[in-house]
Amino acid sequence: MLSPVSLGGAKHRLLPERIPALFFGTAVIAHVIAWAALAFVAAELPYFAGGPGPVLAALHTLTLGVLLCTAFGASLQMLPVALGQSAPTEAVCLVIFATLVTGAALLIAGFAVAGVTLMAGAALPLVVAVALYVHEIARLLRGSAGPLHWFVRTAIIALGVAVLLAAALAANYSLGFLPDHGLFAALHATLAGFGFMGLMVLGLSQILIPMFAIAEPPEEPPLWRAYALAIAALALALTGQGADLAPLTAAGATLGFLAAVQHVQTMRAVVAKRLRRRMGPEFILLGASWVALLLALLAATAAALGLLPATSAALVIILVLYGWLLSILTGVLQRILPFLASMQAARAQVRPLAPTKLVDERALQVHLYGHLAGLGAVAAGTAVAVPELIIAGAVAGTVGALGFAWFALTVLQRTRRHLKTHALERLSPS
Amino acid sequence: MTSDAREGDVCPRTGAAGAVRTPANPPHWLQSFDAAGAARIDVRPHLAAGREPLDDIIALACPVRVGGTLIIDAPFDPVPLHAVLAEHGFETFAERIEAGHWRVWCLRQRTPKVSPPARDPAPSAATVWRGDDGVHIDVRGLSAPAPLVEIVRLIESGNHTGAVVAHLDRDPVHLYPELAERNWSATRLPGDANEVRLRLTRAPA
Repeated sequence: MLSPVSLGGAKHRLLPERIPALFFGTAVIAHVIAWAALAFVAAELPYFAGGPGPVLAALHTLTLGVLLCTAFGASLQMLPVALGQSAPTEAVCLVIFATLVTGAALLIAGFAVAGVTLMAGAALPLVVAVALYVHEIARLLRGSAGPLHWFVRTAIIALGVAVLLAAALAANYSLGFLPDHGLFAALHATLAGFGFMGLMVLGLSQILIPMFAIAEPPEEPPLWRAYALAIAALALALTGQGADLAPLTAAGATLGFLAAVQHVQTMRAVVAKRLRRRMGPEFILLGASWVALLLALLAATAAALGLLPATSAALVIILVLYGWLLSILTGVLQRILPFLASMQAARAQVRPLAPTKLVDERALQVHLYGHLAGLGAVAAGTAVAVPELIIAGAVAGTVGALGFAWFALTVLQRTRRHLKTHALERLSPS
Repeated sequence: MTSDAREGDVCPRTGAAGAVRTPANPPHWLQSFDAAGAARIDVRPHLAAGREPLDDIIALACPVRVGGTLIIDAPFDPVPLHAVLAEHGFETFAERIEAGHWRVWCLRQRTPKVSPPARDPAPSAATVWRGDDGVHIDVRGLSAPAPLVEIVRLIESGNHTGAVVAHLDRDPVHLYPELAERNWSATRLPGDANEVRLRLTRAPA
């Protein structure tokens, strides 16, 4: 029998089990809704150009419900472990979670019914959630240095600005003080998508991908190159959008493409030197996310130069959100959820639990094929403006998302069964 | 590696304790030397290619258990190496096989007297050495996830006897699932200040 592990000082770096469960559980549920919602907005999606309505509600179900919940939960748990810092307190995490979910629910409902009061009401809880989160991440970064530090620090600055812009946009529906609502919405989208989520993904990949693959972490020079390119890309794109200079925006997207190429090259080199022999489906999702990112940035460059049809804006959004970010985050969750469960078992001083024994591979296969089929069909349907294709993709994606929920539930059930069995073993006379 | 003694020179063969040995005066342990089970390295290709072989020799020598053996083939008697290996607990004896070919017979008599090397402020790899209680690995100073990678690499290398003592800056929470995956377990040991020391053992099949 394996002996239990005393985590000793590690306990203060692990959040209580229910905190990641709340963030990730919300993401799992929102994931199903975000795919299913595409079926209901299939006709409008290809021509989406911003503004409240069901499409914006569907997209924010993904961005706030899945992407932000996952990013918050993962970074609040992984950064203390990676940086050797104390995890945020349970109370702070609960406030962040409650305000984030409340704000997200109000905003999504407000977008869906074009309810100005609901949208305005969402601003305060979302600003509180982000302010607390930014404060906690800044605390974790104190005293650290290196590429990870700068990726994450820049990401949270971008998030802070993005949420302030979002609050201004929400207030603008009532007060009408912004000179150009569409421009501010575009800046918000760029900062949230590429500034926060993009830099956070690029930063956390430096730890998570070597950890998943059991490989040497990457050297610093290529990480600095990717950082410099990404920051320059962001600055150019924002300036181009702000000044309405399409060539500048296109140059930003091109630099972003180069940053992405640098990132992908670095991570591929890491994975190539891995010790882990068997690559799970998460690595297929990782590859799909890289392809989607590169395609999205190529499409964004072409769209900025007016080389693509009217559906290109929506296509870029789909490739960035459902392609790049959703693929990588579900891939990350596939590894993190059983890992966290195993660590929690160690924390509970019970027999260690191998992560692979918590996973039902069939569920992951359903998710993988559903996700890839859904993504392909929705992207193609959006590009050629065929709603039936988008609906088919939404159905496939929803099946995949249900597969993912099955996987998450299995991890939860098997962990609880293990903890319960071991508790009984400890109670029974030897 | 440099040598004070080249082929054709009159070169003393130095034992681990620094005593001069000659072919006529082989150590008693050579009679029962386990050549079949010895770790082996031929550094002649290294030197021919202009490469320094010392790191490879030490890497091969470190995991050798007490009573274990090591054989080094070289184009000359590598005199400075005898002292280095003595510090690692080896008795050595050099024998000329033929022109341009010397063989150094090494028997590990004890665990290293030396402490693990002092770590520089930004080490790039783990330090590994063998103690009475198993192979030790010191990953202090490495940033995540390098400690995890280095420990898993050692465990999977097989250069241990089923027990590894890991010296870390902090509890390696990411390591425990990987250990469980490989049917290994961890037990906390008393360590130095600001050190987490774990005994990692392979569970019975």
